[in-house]
Amino acid sequence: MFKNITIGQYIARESTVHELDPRMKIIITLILIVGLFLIGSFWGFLFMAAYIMFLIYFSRLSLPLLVRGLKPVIFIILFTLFIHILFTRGGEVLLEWRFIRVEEGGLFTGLFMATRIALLILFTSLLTLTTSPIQLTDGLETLMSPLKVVKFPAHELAMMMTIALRFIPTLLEEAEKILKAQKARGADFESGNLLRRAQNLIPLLVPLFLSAFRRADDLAAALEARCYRGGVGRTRMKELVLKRSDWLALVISLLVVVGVILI
Amino acid sequence: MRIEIKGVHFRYFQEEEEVLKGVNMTIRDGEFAALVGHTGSGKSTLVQTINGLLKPTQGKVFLDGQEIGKDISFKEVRRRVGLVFQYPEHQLFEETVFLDIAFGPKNLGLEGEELKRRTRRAMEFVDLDYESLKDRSPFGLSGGQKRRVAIAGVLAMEPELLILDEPIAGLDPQSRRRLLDQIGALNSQHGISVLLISHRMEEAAVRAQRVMVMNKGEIVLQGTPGRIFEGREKLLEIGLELPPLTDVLWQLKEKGYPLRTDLFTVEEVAREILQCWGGFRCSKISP
Repeated sequence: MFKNITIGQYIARESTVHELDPRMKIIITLILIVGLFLIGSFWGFLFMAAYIMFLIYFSRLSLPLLVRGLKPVIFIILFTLFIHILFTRGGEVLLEWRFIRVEEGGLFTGLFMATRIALLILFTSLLTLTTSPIQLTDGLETLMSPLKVVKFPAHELAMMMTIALRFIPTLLEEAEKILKAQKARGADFESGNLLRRAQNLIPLLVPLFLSAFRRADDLAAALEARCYRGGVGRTRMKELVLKRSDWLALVISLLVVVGVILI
Repeated sequence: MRIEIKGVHFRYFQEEEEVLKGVNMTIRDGEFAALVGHTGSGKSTLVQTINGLLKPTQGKVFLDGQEIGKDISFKEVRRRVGLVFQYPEHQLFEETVFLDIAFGPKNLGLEGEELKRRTRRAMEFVDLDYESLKDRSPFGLSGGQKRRVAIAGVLAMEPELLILDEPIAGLDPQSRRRLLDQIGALNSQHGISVLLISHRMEEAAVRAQRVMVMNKGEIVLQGTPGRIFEGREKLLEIGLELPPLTDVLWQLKEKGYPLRTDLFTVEEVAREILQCWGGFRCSKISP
């Protein structure tokens, strides 16, 4: 039941993309996302799609794997597409049947938006698939550390993220166990209407929350026992260093983004 | 009720090694059996195939001759076979002890007086006082009490076979003994078949009529506790230990004293050693 969840999944490979500095990867992803929202032409999108194929190729991950990551958002993509097709006006009328009216502007905006969302998901999942959670939070922490001047808790936030990511599989396992135990007591999680099903989740959710709190307590005690007191003065085993390949990746991505916007 | 497991194989993922490699096992009507094995030997996986929580990748499970999932539905099987998981108190969720125990029977469609009767009876089985505890929150109870509430929750469904996965893990010695006594009474006084799963021989063996030893997805030994302990080498080989008292007998025997080694209760072992000491059998130790 919980086996398909891939949030924060990381697949270790030895590839150029994997070896890039996490800070640079985050920056590049942000630039590409901004780029995605500034594209206004068909060719721009095509170029961007080609660029992600290129990146996937260099990450040595399989395309089907990334495409599978689109599954959970397929509904949102289709919804956006149809809403735009049916309700956005502009340009020639392509189809008119009773109350349905499709105009050229709607069709294009719909297609653009759908592609935008799909590419957005692909770029971000490429980031998480090629960057281990630890690297990712390390990168975020250093990127956010200038904000410490304004009392922004960069380290604490990164720590929270690390812990959250670390406990996703643990909690899923726990949920599976509780689910089985309640099933053994005749609980039914599969039938009934939406309201009924939501109610039926209570025997799963209450113990799950309790166990999450219990784990949080234990973890807090363990951190305290090791004298953890926040980020001040902490050193790292692996210092992040920007290499030439990182700068190269940045330059290429910037060129691509500028290119696709100008087309 | 009789459970027959025939040639059951199981693997969690296609690529991975099999967790169960063709298990054959029978649980007879009214017996108290124990399934012993090292952590990761497949004990917990095996019992989950009995009530359909896991479907075997190959092989069949029969309940009174009817194939589970085919001649008899999983729902029906889950009613007749009660499964108590490890640390069952982690599955408590209701506001009161009564409601939590009544969850199972409610799912069977019971209500009113019958529901009350079953809950009260299940609580009596595990020695919980109905009147004083039924309206308390299960989360405010002691560890041992929580565990018993959770077990009562399964007993309230009135299963014919009760499977308990490491039921005394993490309890203090007194609660352990008490719980094992209660489980024993369920079997001897109320005729419920029991399958006790444990990785520690001394817990399982002492009360069971029959012990099955599992290793790496297979049943490697089975028989009465006494007979199992005769196979000491085999047990040590797969990383299981004999109950401490039986081990004492073995060590004495290795020193040359002619003692039996299939005993495990304090009384039996003491009698055996004293007899030997006093009689001519153990003249070697006489001063």
